[in-house]
Amino acid sequence: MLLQAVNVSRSFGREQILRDICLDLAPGESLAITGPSGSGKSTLLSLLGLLLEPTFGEILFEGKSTRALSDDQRSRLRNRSFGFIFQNPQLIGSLSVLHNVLVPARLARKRGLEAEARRLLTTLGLSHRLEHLPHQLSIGQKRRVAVARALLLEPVVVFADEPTNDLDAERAGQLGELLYQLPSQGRALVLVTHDRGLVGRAGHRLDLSGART
Amino acid sequence: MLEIVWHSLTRRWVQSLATVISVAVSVGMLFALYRLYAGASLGLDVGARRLGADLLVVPGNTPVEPETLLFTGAPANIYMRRELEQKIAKVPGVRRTSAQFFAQTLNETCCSLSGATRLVGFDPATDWSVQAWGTGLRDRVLQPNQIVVGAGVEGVAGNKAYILGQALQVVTVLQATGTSLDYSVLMPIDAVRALSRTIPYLRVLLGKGNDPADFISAVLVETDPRADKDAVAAAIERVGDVRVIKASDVLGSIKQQMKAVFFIMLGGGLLAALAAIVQLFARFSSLPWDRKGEWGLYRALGATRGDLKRLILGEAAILTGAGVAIGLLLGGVLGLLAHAWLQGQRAFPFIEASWSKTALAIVVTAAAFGLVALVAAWWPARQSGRIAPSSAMAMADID
Repeated sequence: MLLQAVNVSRSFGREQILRDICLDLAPGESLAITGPSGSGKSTLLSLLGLLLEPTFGEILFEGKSTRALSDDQRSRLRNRSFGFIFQNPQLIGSLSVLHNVLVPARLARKRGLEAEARRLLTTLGLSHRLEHLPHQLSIGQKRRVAVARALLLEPVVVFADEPTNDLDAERAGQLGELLYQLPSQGRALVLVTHDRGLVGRAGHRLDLSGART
Repeated sequence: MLEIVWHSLTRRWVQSLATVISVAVSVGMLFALYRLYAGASLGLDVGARRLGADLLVVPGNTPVEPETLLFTGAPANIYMRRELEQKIAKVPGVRRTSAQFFAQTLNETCCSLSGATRLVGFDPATDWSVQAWGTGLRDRVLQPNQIVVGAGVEGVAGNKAYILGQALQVVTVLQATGTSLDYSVLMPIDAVRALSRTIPYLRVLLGKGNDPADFISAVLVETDPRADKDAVAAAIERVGDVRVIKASDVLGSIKQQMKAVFFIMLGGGLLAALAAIVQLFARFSSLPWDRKGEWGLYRALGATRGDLKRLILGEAAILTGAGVAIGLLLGGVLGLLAHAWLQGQRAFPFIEASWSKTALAIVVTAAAFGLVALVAAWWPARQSGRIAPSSAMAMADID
């Protein structure tokens, strides 16, 4: 298995958000996490992406528990193996579109990925925006930049939190196509979404409507 | 990583520039002050050591200030009868004496040494203050057409100089002494007297029928180490119409004045340094609040706590490094300009501090500001480790 959650629970103070979540995800699989607002979808995505630690239970990556990993090891794992598309695009205002996409490569001290970054941005219809700053982009364009950033280092798992928010139907469709190419390339995709089109194409679905109980 | 640091600094270019300027100004001021103070202190110390005379005896009606006589090369046309030297030599407590005769170079003649410079005739038989500071002068007998120039006079050993219409050979350039010697042209006393006979204004000064050979301008006196210098000076003043200048008193007085001036300037420099330090602390202490979102995003994308610390310390290092580098350059230029001005004014004895001391000052300044920047950036760097990668999930866009 690539990614596993074993009896994962998470509380914030006295409030328990998730309880005893179990899931397995193999390479080439996709998972859509659904549920109403406040049901813990984004929290579960953070737990699976090692952005948060579970209160109880554990996350396994490639069969190994991540509990014992140091903070630095978790950081490196996020950088090299995971790609994140946050609900808000989260771009650095001082960096151009191209340099925003290259941030994970800079953190990984990897050089020579500029051509790949350009290719991704071209695929996402942003070839004419490479040197623009984030404030010069629409929200939909920003989201596509975030997608390119998530895919640059060819992560084995991509986590996407509402990736088609703020996109028109055509762009949402193109993005869906791009994301669902990942499983066919042997990578795993974990989506949090309300988009029925995206949910319908996922190999697995986890509905957190009753997860609290 | 460096690229991220660079973008972060250029994005906040007004703040970055203000920090760099603030550090540069204070470093520049402190470095320039150090160079001036070190140069002036060295000038005074070396001057005191190399002057070699405890007392300088000049004519009683000398209108020139003691500081001018000792530390400037301005012409001093003062004369007294040469017999006075023998009388002074006999005063109890006087160990040895040496007479000097002053004239001046001309400044109108083509190819003259520049400016009106004091022409000092020294007695090779008794001199101990001039010949000790020139290469190969100690056992050499200067010919009447040979001169020695002070370190501050334009002249190169082996070249010719034209003084009072005579072509003279520069035998050597004296080591810097920080005193009037640096701005003087020196010859054997009889040669200067011979030249003086051709100068009309000197004939007027000495009086009709008087020959320069019967006059001297000053007598250098070295006292017995056990003798009371004040008592010896008082005894010399009773010999005739003479004025006794105590070198140690003059040097001490200049040192006091110099210290007062430099302490005031140092106060200004330290205030500027304090302002720079406050600026650095203000800049870095607000970082954990200002940039929580950015740091959270970096953490989520895989930056380790060490990476964040390197980002913050890197920013501090670049800002401070740039400030220190510009400041040292600024201070160097300021120091040179002030040095040139002071030399022009000849207000202080001044000898350039050695390269090793200057290098040490550079290292100390850079280290001090580096330490301040490190301390200023340490707290936000520590705080950055507490930023959870999950905080990126909750953030809006990062401007």
